[in-house]
Amino acid sequence: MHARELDGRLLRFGHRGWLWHNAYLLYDRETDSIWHHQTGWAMSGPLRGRALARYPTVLTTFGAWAAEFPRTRVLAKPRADRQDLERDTYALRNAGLSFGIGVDLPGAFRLYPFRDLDAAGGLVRETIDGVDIVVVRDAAARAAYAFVVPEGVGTLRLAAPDPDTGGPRVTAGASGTWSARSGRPVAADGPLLRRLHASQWEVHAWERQHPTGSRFRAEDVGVLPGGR
Amino acid sequence: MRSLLLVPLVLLLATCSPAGPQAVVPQPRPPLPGEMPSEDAFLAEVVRNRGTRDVFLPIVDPVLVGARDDHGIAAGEAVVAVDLGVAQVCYPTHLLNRHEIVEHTVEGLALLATW
Repeated sequence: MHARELDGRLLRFGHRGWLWHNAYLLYDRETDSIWHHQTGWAMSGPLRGRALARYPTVLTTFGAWAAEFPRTRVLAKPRADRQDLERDTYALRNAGLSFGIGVDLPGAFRLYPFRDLDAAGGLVRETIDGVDIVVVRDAAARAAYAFVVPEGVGTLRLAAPDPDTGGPRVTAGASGTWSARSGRPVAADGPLLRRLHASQWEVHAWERQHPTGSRFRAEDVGVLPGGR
Repeated sequence: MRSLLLVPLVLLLATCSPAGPQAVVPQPRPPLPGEMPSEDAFLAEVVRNRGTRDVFLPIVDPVLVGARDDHGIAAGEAVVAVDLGVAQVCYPTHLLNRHEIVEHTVEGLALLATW
């Protein structure tokens, strides 16, 4: 999710019809610059090198999201097309692929494959590029989430799931307990977990798009994927 | 006399009013040296034969509905979702597969959703 305003000007975008490393490219109608749809980088044209500001997003199930955010607004499917829109066009292709969550930090890219996150117990805390981050797996929602850990927070572990939504929670004991789906504290006056920019990727696609990135491996923390 | 009392009362109410949700401030993540290829190298790697300009048409300024309204999305379906602080929005991927771009404004925030 990007902000469309750049230097006080609202840009309008279209699909260029081109691919770069299997990622599709946009163009803006104002300058005809070519943009990478995921990074928000202008790759070519008058705005080359510029970056659209981004909002952190999640890829999850509607049920999990609406349970966490019951007042969410929803882009509805057109009534006339609903039968055609019942299935995922790419389900067959995706069935044999491995996915993970790619975290974008100001100075680093890092991928957390779901298989390795699961093997590591569903929660990984690391310092990457000087930032204390926590990555939490939510298999029920087919998702994972990445947050900045607030200063002063001690050991984090998974807590009992939210009794209402079933969503995962993380706790640092007296320092606080948070919903992993929203980053919001269970206690009304607790600090928020700030969500990091992170997108779900097919593992090899992420590697192709992020040649300078690093990859979390469960064996690096003493766990072999598959629990061996 | 009444107007003299009203001014400090209004100021007091203003400072005591509970803060509403704060908008999430989006952040750019510009490319670092070495992260983006030269323009010539990039253009040389672009694949141009998989579609024409506007092969997918964006959804522009759609009307959004509530979670309990008739939206046609099953609980187990995948959505791309964003918490803007002042609002939350989700987009069904089955629909995004057809358009790949959604442009709209939510609570004054000009958004570009890409998939």
